[in-house]
Amino acid sequence: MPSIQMTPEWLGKLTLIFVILSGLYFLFIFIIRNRHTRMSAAFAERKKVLGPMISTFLFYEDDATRSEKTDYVGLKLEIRQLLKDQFNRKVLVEIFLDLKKDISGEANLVLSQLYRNLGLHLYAFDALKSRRWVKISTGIQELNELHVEEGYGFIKPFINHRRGIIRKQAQLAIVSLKHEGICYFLDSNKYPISEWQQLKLMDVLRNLKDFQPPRFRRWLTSKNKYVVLFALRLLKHYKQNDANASLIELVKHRNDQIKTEAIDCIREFCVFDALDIMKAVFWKYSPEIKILLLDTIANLGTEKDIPFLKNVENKEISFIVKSKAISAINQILPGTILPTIGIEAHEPYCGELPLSSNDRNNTEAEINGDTDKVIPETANGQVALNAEEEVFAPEIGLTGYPVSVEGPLPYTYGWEELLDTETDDEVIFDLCLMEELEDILAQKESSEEEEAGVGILPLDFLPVVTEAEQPIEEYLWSHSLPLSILELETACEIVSEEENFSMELNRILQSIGSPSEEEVLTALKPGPSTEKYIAGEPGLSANTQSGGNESGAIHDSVQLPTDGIRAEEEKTPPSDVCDSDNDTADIIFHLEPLNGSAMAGSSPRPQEAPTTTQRDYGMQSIFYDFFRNADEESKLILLDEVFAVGDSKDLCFLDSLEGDASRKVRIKAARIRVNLPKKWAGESGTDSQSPAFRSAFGRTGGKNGRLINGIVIRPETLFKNLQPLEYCFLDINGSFHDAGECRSNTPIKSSPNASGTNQQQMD
Amino acid sequence: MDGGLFNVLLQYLNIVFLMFTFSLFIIFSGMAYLATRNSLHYKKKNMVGDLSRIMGSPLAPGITIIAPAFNEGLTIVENIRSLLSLRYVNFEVMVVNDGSTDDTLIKMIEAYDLEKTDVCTDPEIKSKPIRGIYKSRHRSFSKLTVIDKENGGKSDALNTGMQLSVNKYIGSIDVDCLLMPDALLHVVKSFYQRSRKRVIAVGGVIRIANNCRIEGGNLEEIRLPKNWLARFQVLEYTRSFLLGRMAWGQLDSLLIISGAFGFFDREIALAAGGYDTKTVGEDMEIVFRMRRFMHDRKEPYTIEYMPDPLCWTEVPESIRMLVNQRDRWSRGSLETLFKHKDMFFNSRYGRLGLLSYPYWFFYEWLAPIMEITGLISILLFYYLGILNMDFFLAISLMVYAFAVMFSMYAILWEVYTYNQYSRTKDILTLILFALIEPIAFHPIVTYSALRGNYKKLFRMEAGWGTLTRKGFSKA
Repeated sequence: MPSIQMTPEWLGKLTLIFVILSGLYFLFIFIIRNRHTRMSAAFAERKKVLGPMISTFLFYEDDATRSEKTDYVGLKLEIRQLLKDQFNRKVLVEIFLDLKKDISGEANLVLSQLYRNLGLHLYAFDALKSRRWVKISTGIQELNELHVEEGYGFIKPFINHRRGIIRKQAQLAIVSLKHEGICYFLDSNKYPISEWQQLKLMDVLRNLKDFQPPRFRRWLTSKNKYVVLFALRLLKHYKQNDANASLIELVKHRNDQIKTEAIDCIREFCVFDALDIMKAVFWKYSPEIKILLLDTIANLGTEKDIPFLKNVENKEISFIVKSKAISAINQILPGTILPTIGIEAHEPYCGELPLSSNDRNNTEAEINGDTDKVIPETANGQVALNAEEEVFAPEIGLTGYPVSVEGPLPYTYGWEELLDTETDDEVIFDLCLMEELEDILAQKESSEEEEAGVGILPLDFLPVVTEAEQPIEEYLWSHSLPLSILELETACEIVSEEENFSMELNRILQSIGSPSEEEVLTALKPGPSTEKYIAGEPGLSANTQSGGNESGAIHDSVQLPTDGIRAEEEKTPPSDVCDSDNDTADIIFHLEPLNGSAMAGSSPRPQEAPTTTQRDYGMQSIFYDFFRNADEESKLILLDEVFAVGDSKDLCFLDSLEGDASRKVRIKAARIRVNLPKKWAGESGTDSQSPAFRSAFGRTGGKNGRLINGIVIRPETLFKNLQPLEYCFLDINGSFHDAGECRSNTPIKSSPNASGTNQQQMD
Repeated sequence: MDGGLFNVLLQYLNIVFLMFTFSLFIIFSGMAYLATRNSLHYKKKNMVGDLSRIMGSPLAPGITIIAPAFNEGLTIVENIRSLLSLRYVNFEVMVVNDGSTDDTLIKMIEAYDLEKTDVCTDPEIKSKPIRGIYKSRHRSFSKLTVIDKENGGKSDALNTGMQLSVNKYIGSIDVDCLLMPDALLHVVKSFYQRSRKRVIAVGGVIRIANNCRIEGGNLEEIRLPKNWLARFQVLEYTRSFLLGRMAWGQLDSLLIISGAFGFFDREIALAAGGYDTKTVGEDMEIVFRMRRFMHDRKEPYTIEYMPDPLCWTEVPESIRMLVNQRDRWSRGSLETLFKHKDMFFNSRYGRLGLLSYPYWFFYEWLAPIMEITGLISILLFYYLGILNMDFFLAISLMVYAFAVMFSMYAILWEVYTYNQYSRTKDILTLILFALIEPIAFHPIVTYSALRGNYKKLFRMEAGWGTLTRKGFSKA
């Protein structure tokens, strides 16, 4: 019979062992806790001592007084004594690493220099000789973080270390310490590169200053598939589109990740030659890759690819792939496949008239998706629209905002709505224009009868465009304008892309059946000695139906307040300079037209200098540093913060974002640039504490208003009635000018804008 | 009955119980050792490097956090706000309203200005009908998606989210959980750090937030719960997550990822069939299935486990709720083990079949049954007058001492690694509860497990039960 001889005594002994172990654990719990507490306290204490010493070194300048120099030397000796203790070294290194995270620029270099001066890097080199992986990796990290370039050679051998942690730290250090490090790494790496490591390496590269990336196509032929994968990602990141042949080959790679990246690159770089190979391999691949392929074909494909896509639609089992194929077809030829499920046949609306058989056929054809029969096309492939039909402007993304020539514009988007949508600069500009146009057309209708015979639109809200070929100085000289005006206009010049504008103007005029731009310009051409403006009075509205002759639309009653401008210009700094130290010179209302390309500056002289200045002043913004390393998403979030807490310095900063790589950021910055002053005005009304108010009227609060261009502007009236668009035309000094002034280099003047509101605001 | 045969039976019974007890001691000691090794390695490995640096990386993968919500109207708005404030560049919070009968959906619509979208969904989605997909009109909440669907249970809700997500990774969390701001960075690191094996899932520690000070979705102060039941659970969770799962992680044999904080490779999870809607232990079942799927495909893979305190949740503070919860857990274990019974001592599944599955079978599922059998035997022996009282007391004391020792080790390891409870009083309280837990708390857990098994084996109707949340804001 089986039996286990186990006596209670034996069990008792075992119990005793467990009790003793429990007691020991109890003791260890408190010993460890005490050690933690003691160590943290000692560390904090020592940091308090060593921290200020490091700061002294960091901010020491050569022109220090004699006593300061003595102290400095004394400190240096003291710190060298302290460094003999390992604990002190540990604390010091931690201080250095903490500071490294917090400071940037010159101070960062000084910090690295100081680290070397104190000889701390030698201890890190010693750590590299250790047998413990933790010490080695910590040493490499230290040398990397504090940018000890001398360590490059020492770290190199670790790049293929058998222990992953050391290897990874070494790879990061090699890439970070020298610009050629990435080439060395990609050439010599034998091990797989984890996704995490790729992420970190990419981050290091992104933050390298003045980094000139090598041509990464070199590594697309590497035997290490991880190197190929990483090279593809780098290729995409740095937009190197010189490896098309390799990319096409890599679509056939066995590894799905490489395939995916290669397809991404093909789409990104528009490698049209890859279309055939993508179609050839399509059927062999997984649904995920198929979706990617279809997406790429949709982007690059032409009508020739439609049969293939239809084949995919018919043969493919996966719902998502099928949907993608349909979407690709529609992307290549919009409207090819229309919804068919759940669509009911309805009689088309045609007013009181009975339907003709032709119309009926068209309706049925539309429901059946036979769109070719529905919309007649002109010879050049354009869809021919009846004059009474809605007019679309697809080339600028205005599809969906119909502009009817009869009655008020159906466009009903408010400014706030517009700001919430993600549209590009052109759309914003266009919508502003449409809004203005709506007002004018409304005015036109009310006064049509009175103004019969006047054949031109009241286009005073539009910039007056001069003949492009004629240099502006020459033009002004030939028109006998005073020299003061000549000087002033160049200082204040803000120019949109004239070509774009001309196209826009033509388009609008065309859509409403008005004369062409040339005709308008001919009519608007100023006389030899008088500055002429298109007046904003309703009486000058055009007969849009007839597109009739324009005459009498120009009047020359407004005289240029040249003296006032001259005086004002002498008092105020150049318009584009943001002087944050001088409130009266703060530029708050220097709002460029929303068109981003216009901001880039097509007038070289006045724009170039301020661009640099804007960047400098932009650097004073608290957001500057945050933006430096932020990704697009973070930038967008930060822009929200700019809107929430921004002050006058941030306006310059927002200006500096016009050159940002991300379109979304540019658009958002432009929107916020426009809305920030509005927000201040809205928040405070005439609150003299608002930054906008201060900037526009100075510290005194401008109780008596401010003399701008010879006109007194009172703060309480300035912000109250501003329309969103008006901010776009508000000048640096808080006065209004229209885009035409900027364009034609005419001086700032108090010409009425479209709604005429500014006229009321001025005493 | 023949006296000889009875004696033989008694001897066998003794042997079985002794073997069971001592093998349990050995396994637990082994687990403590492995957990220690794994924790030390993890700590050293993560000493270097700064996670936040990769926040804005263009290579950062997308993660969808799926949070099923059923009648969570009380806390849903705050909980979503907390989820949206996570520090990561590329993530989506997908709240699946699983046919709530309260005002959960309305509150979400109002608080986040949601509007119904016309997203076309795959008609073959295996879940209850979707009523609508909502997105916020505000850019600030662009990361939020709300799915409204008919009630189908947690698994169904998770499956819906999984199928509608487009990101590479999906996370299953309880909507009332509080995630640390860096949680997703840790998750991505765990998914991305391997180069030779595919990481198919990542699990983490669940910490107890009862009585912790939480303000604006941030954990401001960590305190030990005031409720005695919750205190026992702190001890239990520390043991289980810091020692148990860490050890299984070291062996790459982890068979469960907590449903409150688990992340999966979406492609593999979908290919494996998603969550099983017929079990209440869906979090365990999906791990079994994903592992089997990878084993069958013979692809190198692993499941990562993070011991960092990244997810905090409320635990039941009343016996009734606790019993319901544990009852459900044991039913879930039983269902999963039964469904995958062919893995039992199946060498084809390596360590999973030979080590991990048998452990779950004997020491997680069978243990309560063994305990109750032992108790009945003792009472029977006592009644029959054949109970060796000295031996009984000695072995009981030994088991008790071992249990206390193991808890003490867990507390020690907590102090050494993360030291979350800064007040000495909290540590002393935990030690005190370690002393009384085997007598005061363990019987409740055993009873709950038995009840769950009984319900399952005798096919009694049982669902998820409910847990009434106090809500962090009130904690």
